[in-house]
Amino acid sequence: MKLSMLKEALTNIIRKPITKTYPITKRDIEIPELHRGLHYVDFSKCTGCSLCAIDCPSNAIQMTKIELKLGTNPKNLYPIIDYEKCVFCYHCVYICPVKAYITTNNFELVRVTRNNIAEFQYEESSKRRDKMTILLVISLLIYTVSVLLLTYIVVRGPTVSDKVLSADVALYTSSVILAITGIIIGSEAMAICTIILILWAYIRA
Amino acid sequence: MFKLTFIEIPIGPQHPALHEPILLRLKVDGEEVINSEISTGYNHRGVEKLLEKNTWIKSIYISSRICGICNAVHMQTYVQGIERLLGIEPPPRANYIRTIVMELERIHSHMLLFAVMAETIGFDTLFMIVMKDRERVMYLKDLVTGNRVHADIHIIGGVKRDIDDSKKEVILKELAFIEQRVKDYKKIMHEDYTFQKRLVNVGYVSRNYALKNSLVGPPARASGIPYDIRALEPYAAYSELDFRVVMREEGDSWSRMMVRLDEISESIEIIRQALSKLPQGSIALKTIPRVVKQGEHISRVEAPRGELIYHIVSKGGSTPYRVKVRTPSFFNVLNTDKLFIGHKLADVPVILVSFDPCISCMERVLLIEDKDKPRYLTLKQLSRWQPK
Amino acid sequence: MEELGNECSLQPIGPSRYQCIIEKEKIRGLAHRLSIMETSFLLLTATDYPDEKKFELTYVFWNHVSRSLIIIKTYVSRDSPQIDTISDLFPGATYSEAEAYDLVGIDFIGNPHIKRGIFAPTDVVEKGIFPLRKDSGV
Repeated sequence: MKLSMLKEALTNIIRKPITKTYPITKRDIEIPELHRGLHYVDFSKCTGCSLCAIDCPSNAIQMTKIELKLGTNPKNLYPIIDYEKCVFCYHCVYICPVKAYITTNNFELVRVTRNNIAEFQYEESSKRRDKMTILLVISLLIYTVSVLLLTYIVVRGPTVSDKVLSADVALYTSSVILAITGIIIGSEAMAICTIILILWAYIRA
Repeated sequence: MFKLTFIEIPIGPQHPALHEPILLRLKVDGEEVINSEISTGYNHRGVEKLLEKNTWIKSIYISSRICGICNAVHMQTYVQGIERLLGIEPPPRANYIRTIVMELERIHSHMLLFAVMAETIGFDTLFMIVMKDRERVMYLKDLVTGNRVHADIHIIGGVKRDIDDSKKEVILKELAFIEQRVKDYKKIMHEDYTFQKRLVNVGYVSRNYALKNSLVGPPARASGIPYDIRALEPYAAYSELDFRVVMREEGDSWSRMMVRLDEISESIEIIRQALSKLPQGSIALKTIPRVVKQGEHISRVEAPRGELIYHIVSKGGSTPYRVKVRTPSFFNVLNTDKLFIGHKLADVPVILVSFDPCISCMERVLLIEDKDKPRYLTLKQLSRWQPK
Repeated sequence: MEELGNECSLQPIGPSRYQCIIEKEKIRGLAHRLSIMETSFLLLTATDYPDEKKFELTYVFWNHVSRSLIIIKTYVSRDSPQIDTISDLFPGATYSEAEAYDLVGIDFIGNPHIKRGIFAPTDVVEKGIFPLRKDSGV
């Protein structure tokens, strides 16, 4: 029996998933420079000949009157592209007699308003989550330290009363901090468990 | 007494990569197909009316959007017909660039079909691997034409973009990688047990059947008919390039897939030759003609799926009078409905995929048992269907 | 120059392309003669000429032996568009004739697959119009 998949299985246990959450994280694949992306007109060169509007296969270009009064365009007609109808065939770019079109390779044209809001929310919530994580870690540390202290004192014997008292106070304080942290970050289970722990310790004391 | 089970395969008309939707009705007895018939719904014939209403230049871009996978060959056929009606010849460098783009398209279309066939017989890992290699070819297409899918590079009288030396080096490097991978795929086809069992002697097409039913493309070439328009009526730069027409004699599904894999290797050789022989000169005419004289012409081109014919009738105006488009899948799929008789039900997807329909059109299978309770299955579930 | 019997003589219109124009009654004889040579059917186009009140049918065949394209044109009158089918001699022509019926309205006598609704969408079929005629208003 050949164990040909063993090496792959072992490496895949400790490897993170390869999936990249694309619109939120940045894209790391490069595209060629001359990819047909967003294009628009340089108004200082346009002469208003309307060849691009006549030839567009999906009738996406409208010649509109904009009073710019530049010398090159006597009729003051400039092309405005409706990007929802455009199929990006770039015939307008090719046929313009004065090469007035500026081309880019930006193809991410769907992220207009909605995804920006999502990205903003994601960033804000991750900042908040980082803050809460730090708070949680500190509370857990205090809690662990106080539990260890209490265990030490219990094991060693109830000799010094104020040391027991301070360990108790430390225990209660850290439990209260932990409960409040749980409520704030939304983990009700944690808050309830901590409150139960406090009450049990109080009753037992 | 046996139970008659009817299976209907409806194909939705709304799909981007559609050639024609068909409804395939199979009458099954247990596992064996005893009758089959095809009925069709609405297909892309709205395009023919649309081409009559738009000017010549606009209709070029419309014809490119008939098919998503073979868009460069549709444009080539149409522009070739218009140029013949006008009596002009594109410059030689434009012919070579058109050839390179069309061969790149042939490579990625055949790789797509090989991946789909692997998925149909259950080999999902190979599907993913082939698609990953196909991405390199799409990157090359993006480099040369500006878009991964729609290469709007043809214009009446030439091409719109040029290939310079830095692009040549990238193309040659990627092609060397693909050539090695295709050799590995051929090795899998010869040695893998699943491929041998599922594909050999399934869907046999005799030479006479292929002649009578006008099969074109790789299914005809796998049955012993040397029918390749690139060699019979050379267009673009094919008259100056040296290549082999791939042909096999067996006529079953295995040889149809092997013909396509061999054609990928031939296409890589053609691109290398064309890149080394690229002549100097301009790539397009100075002005684009807008009015075409009266006349008619039939232009034929070898698309990845077979032979594509356009019949263009012009009455001397600024719009065409009649354009008739005959895609290769039209005959390959509609005329082979009686081939399924006598085969098991599990062979039906394999035969259908080996004829290369636009497979993304075939979405759902309607399985009616006992004539009472219909159930919908996808084609993937059909390929893994087991009788109770 | 090829002679297909006395029915039509083919004129060359390009390198290895031949064309002839015949009346519609002779199509079956010609198709029979073509089917015994190694010929495949390639294309059937139906064009509407409303000014001359006729439909023009163009049949395109490919001969494997002589490697030449054979183009045959016939005319059918616009008022009674009927012609014999060739789908029993050339099974590949079945769906082309069905499409010509569905979109232009030419009746092929003897073709079992002729019916409306194969290719045209249902709302066009309900109105009873043939979309590719010039006066259909689609």
